[in-house]
Amino acid sequence: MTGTTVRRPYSFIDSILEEVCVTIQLTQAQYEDATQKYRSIGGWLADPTSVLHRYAPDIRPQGSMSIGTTIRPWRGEEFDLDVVCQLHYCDQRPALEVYNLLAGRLKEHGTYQRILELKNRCLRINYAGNFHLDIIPACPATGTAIKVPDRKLAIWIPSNPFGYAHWFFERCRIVRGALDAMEARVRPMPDNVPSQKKFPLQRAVQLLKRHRDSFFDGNPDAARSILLTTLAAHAYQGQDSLTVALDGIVNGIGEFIAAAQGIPKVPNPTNPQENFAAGWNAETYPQFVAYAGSVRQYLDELMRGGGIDEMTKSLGGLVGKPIAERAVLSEARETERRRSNQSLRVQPGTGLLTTGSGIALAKNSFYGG
Amino acid sequence: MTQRRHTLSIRDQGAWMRQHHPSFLTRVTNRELRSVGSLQPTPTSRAYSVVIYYEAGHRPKAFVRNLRGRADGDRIPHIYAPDQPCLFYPQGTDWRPDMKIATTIVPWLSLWLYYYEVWLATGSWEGGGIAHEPKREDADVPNS
Repeated sequence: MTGTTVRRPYSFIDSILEEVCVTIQLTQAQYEDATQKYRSIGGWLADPTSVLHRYAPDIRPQGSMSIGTTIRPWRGEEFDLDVVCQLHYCDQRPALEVYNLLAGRLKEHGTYQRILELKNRCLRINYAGNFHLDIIPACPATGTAIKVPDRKLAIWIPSNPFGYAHWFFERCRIVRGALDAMEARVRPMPDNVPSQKKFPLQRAVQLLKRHRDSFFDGNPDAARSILLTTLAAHAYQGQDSLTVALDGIVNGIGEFIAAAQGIPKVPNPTNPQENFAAGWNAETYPQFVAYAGSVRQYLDELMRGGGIDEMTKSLGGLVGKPIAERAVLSEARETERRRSNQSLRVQPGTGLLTTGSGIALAKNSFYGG
Repeated sequence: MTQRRHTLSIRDQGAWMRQHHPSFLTRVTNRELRSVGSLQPTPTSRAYSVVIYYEAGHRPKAFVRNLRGRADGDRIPHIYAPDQPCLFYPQGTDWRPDMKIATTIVPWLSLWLYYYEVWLATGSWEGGGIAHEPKREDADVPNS
């Protein structure tokens, strides 16, 4: 809770939403487990004794992990990490040959060969527990673009996950310069950044995904993460308050829906031929519209205020009651911590609690049972 | 500043209230202070109508309109009466008559309102405090 009522009307909700994002992101244990498995498999693929070695394999995470929008799996669903294994000097080879090269290397490993599943666009390693790692074989194309094998069609398909990540971070107002660098073989995983250090757009995407998970509750027609991420990134306008950012994004999605003639497309910003909304049809699109309306409704209630208790109910509709209450308690404990280290102030006249200027709180003990 | 240990007069208390909280309506007589205002601990919170009452020789009291219990029937923690929060430990040294009401009672009341709303939302009191003893704690404070 910071600032004044006038300038930051949503300062308290911002703090609460940030607490929510801390709760819904991967636990440190989940993150470390994924990182360790990623490193092991990266080491196996890139090892000098590997048949892949002469193709200078470059292994890096892609998808939500690489753009910092991962959230905890919903109700026992699997949590996955997408990894691109980019080979070089392979663009003249048939797609299936490259796919099989990678499969062959994984089959040489005692453990991986047992838990390997050959998917159409990737090679999946199913670990015990609720975690799998999808390895996408790739060859370089132009710029950040790559091409990936489609196993059923036995052809190369254009893809550009690193261009996408670059675009997303530009939308967040930063550019990760290291994205195009080529030196590292197995690139370090991005840190499991504490939510407080994330950009509002990253947090907003996490919240949209969380409501997607609860709204669709396992329904396979749920909007894909890449679709939500893209719509959110387009609609984001650089707001630094998370609440205001989310409000603007949800409005933007509403305008997108209102302007649509029939079922709209959502082109991949790095490959306009690809439609992220290819799954939308007369049955699934109205469900997305209902989901967007649901976010709008809860967010309206949330922003209306009317007491922390009322706000908590609305937040419960958005992200689930236990997470909402937990966030309010975390924030209260943070306030209590500020009270004990004497950084908490009270704005004269209004009583607004603040870490800015105001009346220092004298020591007191509330009394009575 | 030299340490101030002497009891502040009702008129001094009133003057500090007006200086710190000009939005409050503060009235003083020789014997008592009564200050009415509104407190909102966070921008998301409701604004509460509050009354601070102070009678020479007694402890200050704070009253809040429209407090309510939880839907599950739990009673509000840390209150003397349904409209009267307990802001400090009366047997201790949290508040002494040489302290300004404007910079103690009023901020404590706002903090109490924050924890009250958190309690309404979660059922958990996060503001700490000391439980009432069985004996009547405010025996020396006459009813106002």
